[in-house]
Amino acid sequence: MKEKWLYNFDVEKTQKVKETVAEKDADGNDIEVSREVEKKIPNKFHILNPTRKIQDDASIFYSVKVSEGIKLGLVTKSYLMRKFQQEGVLPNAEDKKIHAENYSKAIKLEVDMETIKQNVSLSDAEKDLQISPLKSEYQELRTKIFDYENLNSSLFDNTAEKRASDLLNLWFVLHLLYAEKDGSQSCLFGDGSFDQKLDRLNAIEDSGDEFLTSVLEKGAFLIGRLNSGSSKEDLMAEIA
Amino acid sequence: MSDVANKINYLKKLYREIVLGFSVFDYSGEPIFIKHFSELDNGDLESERSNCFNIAKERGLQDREEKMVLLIKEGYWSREKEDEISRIKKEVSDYEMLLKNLVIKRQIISTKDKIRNLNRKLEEIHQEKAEVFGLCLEDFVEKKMNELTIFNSFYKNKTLNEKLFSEDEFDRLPEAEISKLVGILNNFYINFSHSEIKKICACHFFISIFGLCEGDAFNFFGKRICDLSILQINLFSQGRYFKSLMQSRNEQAMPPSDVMDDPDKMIEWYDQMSHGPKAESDGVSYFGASKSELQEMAGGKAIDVQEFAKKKNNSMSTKDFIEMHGI
Repeated sequence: MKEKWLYNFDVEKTQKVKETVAEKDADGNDIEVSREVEKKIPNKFHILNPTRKIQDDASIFYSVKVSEGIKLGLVTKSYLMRKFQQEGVLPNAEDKKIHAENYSKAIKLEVDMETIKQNVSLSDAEKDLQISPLKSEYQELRTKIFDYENLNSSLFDNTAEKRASDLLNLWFVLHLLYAEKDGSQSCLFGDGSFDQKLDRLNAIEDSGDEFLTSVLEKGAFLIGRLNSGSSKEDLMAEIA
Repeated sequence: MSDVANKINYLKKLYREIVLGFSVFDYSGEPIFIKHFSELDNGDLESERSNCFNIAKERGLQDREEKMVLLIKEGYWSREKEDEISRIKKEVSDYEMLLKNLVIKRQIISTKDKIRNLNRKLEEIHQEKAEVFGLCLEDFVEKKMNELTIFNSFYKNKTLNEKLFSEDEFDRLPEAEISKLVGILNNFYINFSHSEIKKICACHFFISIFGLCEGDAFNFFGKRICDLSILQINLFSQGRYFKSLMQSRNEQAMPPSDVMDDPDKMIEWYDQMSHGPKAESDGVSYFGASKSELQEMAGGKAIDVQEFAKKKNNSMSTKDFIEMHGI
């Protein structure tokens, strides 16, 4: 079964808290003194692991937005793809082959690293020693893959699909970002439709609340990265 | 144990599962139970179909026709492409029909090639269409129905009163697990294909039991017809059909015991019976067939017109032609 949360993170909030300290009064007796002090308290936030129902809602949303983009006059990705293919703008067969090979190699390295991690006969130090060279090779491949995909996706920036994809990222932020309060979690933007949640997002942005703004920034960054295929481990390394 | 004995044992196992109304499979080392659906279960699924349809429609997902109107209006698709799809489909269907009536190997190969090329072309256009159209209402509903079929098929126990997953668990099941379940379900459907049902009905053990029920499904399964699983209905119908074929033969024309003991041979025998005995005078000619093909078609009784003519001193009258064709 999938874990409920894809990722958990804390954002510190400066809050007034009651602090009780033991002191002595003028006569030397032990007393307890309570006073309000400002402290940075970590607040817990979560990114929901999308269930099948959420993924279905997301694909409907995306498809509706693609149609909306076409109605607005944006070109489609498949149309541009054919056009670019005819004009020779797209990567040639050799580039594609190299990209596919890099991709397969990266997947194989991921599997190899995971196998080493799961190997109970190895100590942690031995695991690190074996994983280290694989990890640097993996990072190198990831950079190549990212550059290739980035270059190609920029060709399709002004398409109905790109607009829909950007809106889908926002949709995920509005549906997957959860806040924890008193041990229970709820969506940061409450219940309701995409537009209702979007209104709440706008209200947060307009409020100038530094804490909530930083929660939004961090949450949106993480969701964007997780959607683009980054692993939890990568994210932890980046944030650290 | 001989191959035939193994085959019969396997068919007995399938027969048992059909009668019980469930099958057992292994899922991550644990037994799980697949319910054999009845028409009532299928009806439940269909009512869910309209729910899914309405939910997606309400959220603005376009059906294929609406999407087509939009894409044609904006110039991303065309009526011509739709016409081309229909034209190729029609051509494939015509060639498939033709194929059924062909007997000459060369013609069969060439027609199969044509069908393959047309299907390849059709596949290319469909792929292009899928890219241009993206997710449509029909695709979404179909996906949900498949998921629902998986959800409703698997149970924890043989009394089939506790589903393998709760709705919440199923909703959070990773894709890899869903693929595993789809694999199990595919194997299940292969096990109970129509050809396997025919084999069960062609087994001696089945013929003996079936003969006792006097053509009454209640006598056989102890259930009302509407409560029977689809596999039970298929088994019963096939059994009845084979019994009627058997009854249409007189005692002398019963299959020999070596045929009776092998379900595959029995099916061949039933197939021959269903096509009826060929009259002696059923003479026919095939242009373009090789000598060996003609011998194969005529069961070794093909006559070479030149040899026949030699017997008639190379001078054949209309009467001789009629005689050659066995009329």
